[in-house]
Amino acid sequence: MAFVEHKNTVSQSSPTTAKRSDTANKRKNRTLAKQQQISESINGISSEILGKAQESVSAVEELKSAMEQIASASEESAGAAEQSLSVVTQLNNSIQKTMRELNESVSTAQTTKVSVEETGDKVIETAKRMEFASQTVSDVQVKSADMKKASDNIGQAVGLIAKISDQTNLLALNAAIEAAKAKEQGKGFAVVASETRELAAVSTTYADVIREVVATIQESIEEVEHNIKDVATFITDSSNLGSSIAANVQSTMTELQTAIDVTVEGVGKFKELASKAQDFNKGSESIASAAEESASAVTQITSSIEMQVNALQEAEEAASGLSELAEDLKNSTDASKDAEEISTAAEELISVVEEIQKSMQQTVTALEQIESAAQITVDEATQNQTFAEDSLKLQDILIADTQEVLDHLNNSAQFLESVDKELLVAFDFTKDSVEEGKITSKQMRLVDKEAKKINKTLVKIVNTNAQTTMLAVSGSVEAARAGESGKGFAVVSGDIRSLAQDAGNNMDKVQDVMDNLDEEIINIDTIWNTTMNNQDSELITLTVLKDDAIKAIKNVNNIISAFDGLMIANEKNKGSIEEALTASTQIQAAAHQSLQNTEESKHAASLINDTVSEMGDFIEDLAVSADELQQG
Amino acid sequence: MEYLLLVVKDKYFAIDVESIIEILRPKDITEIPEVADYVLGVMNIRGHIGTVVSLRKMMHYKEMGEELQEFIASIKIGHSDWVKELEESVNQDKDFTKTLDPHACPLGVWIDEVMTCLKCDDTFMEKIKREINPHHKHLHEKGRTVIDTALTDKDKAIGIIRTEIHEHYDVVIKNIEALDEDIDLWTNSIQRIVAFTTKKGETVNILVDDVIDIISIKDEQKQKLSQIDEGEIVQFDCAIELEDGKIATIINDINI
Repeated sequence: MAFVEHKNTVSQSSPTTAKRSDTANKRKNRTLAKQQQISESINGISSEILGKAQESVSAVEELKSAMEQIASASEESAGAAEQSLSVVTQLNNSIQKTMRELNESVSTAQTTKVSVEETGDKVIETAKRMEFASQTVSDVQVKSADMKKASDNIGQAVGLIAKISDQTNLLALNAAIEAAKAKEQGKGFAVVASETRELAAVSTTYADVIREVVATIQESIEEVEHNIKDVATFITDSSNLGSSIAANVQSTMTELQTAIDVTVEGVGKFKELASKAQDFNKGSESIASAAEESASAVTQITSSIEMQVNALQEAEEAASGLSELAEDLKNSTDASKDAEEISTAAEELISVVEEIQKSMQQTVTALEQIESAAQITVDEATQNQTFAEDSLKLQDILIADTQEVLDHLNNSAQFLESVDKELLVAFDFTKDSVEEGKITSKQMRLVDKEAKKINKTLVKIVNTNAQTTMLAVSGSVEAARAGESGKGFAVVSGDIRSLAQDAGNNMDKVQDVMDNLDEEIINIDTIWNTTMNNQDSELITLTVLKDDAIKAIKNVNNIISAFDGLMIANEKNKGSIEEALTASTQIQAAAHQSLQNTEESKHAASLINDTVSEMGDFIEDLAVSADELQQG
Repeated sequence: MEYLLLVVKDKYFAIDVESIIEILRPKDITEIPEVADYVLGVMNIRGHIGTVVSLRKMMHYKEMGEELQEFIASIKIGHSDWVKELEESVNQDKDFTKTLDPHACPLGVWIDEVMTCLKCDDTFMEKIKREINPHHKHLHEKGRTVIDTALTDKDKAIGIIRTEIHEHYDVVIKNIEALDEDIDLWTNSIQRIVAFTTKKGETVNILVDDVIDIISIKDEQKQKLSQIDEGEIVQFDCAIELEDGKIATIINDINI
């Protein structure tokens, strides 16, 4: 402002100075000529200064626009860095969460695998026992054929008993005929004969009882044999399933193990991904701080620019003032005073130039800051781009891995489903075997009970036979007493005695057959009961195994749904990485633009510097002119 | 007076014990040529050769063996008809009228009789038990399967007839025909020989279906028969009503 007032003063005083020079005409002619010469020189200088100032202003304008661009690039870069920082932080969180979940899944899978392994061991044991049971029942089948043979033999034994009672009947009839024929002398015979017939009738009754019982036994044994065959089939079928179940359990374990292996490997890859995300974030932070630095530098430059614009305006005004001074000087009488004014103006101009130069130095420093920030941003963003690209590749691998794990898990679930189904069938077979086996046990006990009935009846027959023998002896005695008329009776009595003897021998044989059957039944019954008890406890084992299988299926399904969730997270992570990648490229482009802007700014700054320093030279010339004027 | 009560076919006869020597089992009867049809042959009895005559033949009945042969022939036809009707009932959606119970058909009834007979020969009984009874049972039981199957699957039912039913039928028929060779085993085990002294003092061994008992008959119980054929070999003029209401003809003599 002082400069402007001064200029006004100069312009007002100009006509007064001209009047004064008119009055001191001649004496000062030489002086005037010189004054005019200097005035012209000053005029030229001031117009040069004005030109330089205008040049500088346009360069400053350029600088200003570059600053605006840099500011917007910094802002963009900062925004992108901020955004990708948040995205990648989210990504990192997601990865951390995923890793926790993966570890959980791996531990669940391992627990499941261990329990499936235990199930497998149990299945193998069960399969072995089933195999053993199958072997046992096929042995029992052979034995039941023996039992059938023994029961056929008692059929023949019954025939023997029947024959004896029939023969006894026949002989008793003959004895009765003899007694009838002997009339009075045969009275003793008649008693013997009638008692013998009674005994024969009794033994016929016994034979009938035995025949009936034997029919029951044979029927039961036929059923037993048939049932044993059925049970054997059930047990063999379930035993055959045993090996298939064991194989499926083995396959389940293999699939689970592969899933675990791939998952564990995956955890390593996720760690790598997490470290890449951290690196990326470090880069983003650097980019953000570079953007801040760049922004502060821009602010500094912007305020310098304002100052420079003001200073240049002052310079322009001073230059116009000088122009007027130079006009006044042409006819001035007080050159000394003019010289002083010019000198003052020059001093002021020098101070303006100095100010601009100082500000320019600061601008250049700030520009260097901006340049270095842009360079850092380019470097970091390039590196982040690499990180993002690597992460993307890693993420794709992880997606493929997750799919692979899912495939293996689904396979193991399928194998477990088969195990579950087969266990159910085996359970049904075993249950059927137990149910039919128990019926068979009952039948065998029935057979045993019936066989005991036969034994009791046999004892009775043996007793009857002993009585018959005694009677026949009495008959022989009676016949001997009767003499001639007892001859026929003696023959019959002899026949009865020898028959009774035969019967005794035959009874022993029948007893042997019965003992044999009893032995066969006990033999089978013992094995059978043990086998059925085993089968019964097998039912419990199979139920436990089935529960195990269902639990394992549930666990595997849980793991599968965890991995399904993981798959979604993976896809989301991929999106985040792609976003980060885009941000990195954007930041790079912005930083490159900033670098170019900085270059231009530097160029503008140097132009301003040169122009201002040229302006300084002119001002020096001005000072020289002022000195000349003072001396002149 | 004491009489021996015996039976042929479904007729009872009584013979005075005074004229009876003893009761025997028929065994190894040797046929002899050019004799009357009622003379079965000769048999060794306690070292002596005795002639064996058939009461059935003397009474103009068929022999037990012949009856069995006729029975076998009727069984064959019956079961062949059974199979035919079964197939027709499936093909033409008709009701099956014959029995599905193996114990209800004539063969089944006979098998059950033989199997519960204490006297029957072991070999003969075993053959029926093993070679005929199981297949006969299966034959009828499969009939039930066929009828049940036909409700849902006719072709399958026909298939069962063509395979399993025919198989069992063939075995039953084949084995029942084979019984022909063993008829003597059966009749010999069932029938008895009564050694009899004729009025002329000859010994005649009479083959009867069975001897039942010795019974006392008083003269006043005897009932004169109105029609008596003097020319018959078996001489009888009286009968007696037994306790169960059956009539027994009293044989006086055998006139060979």
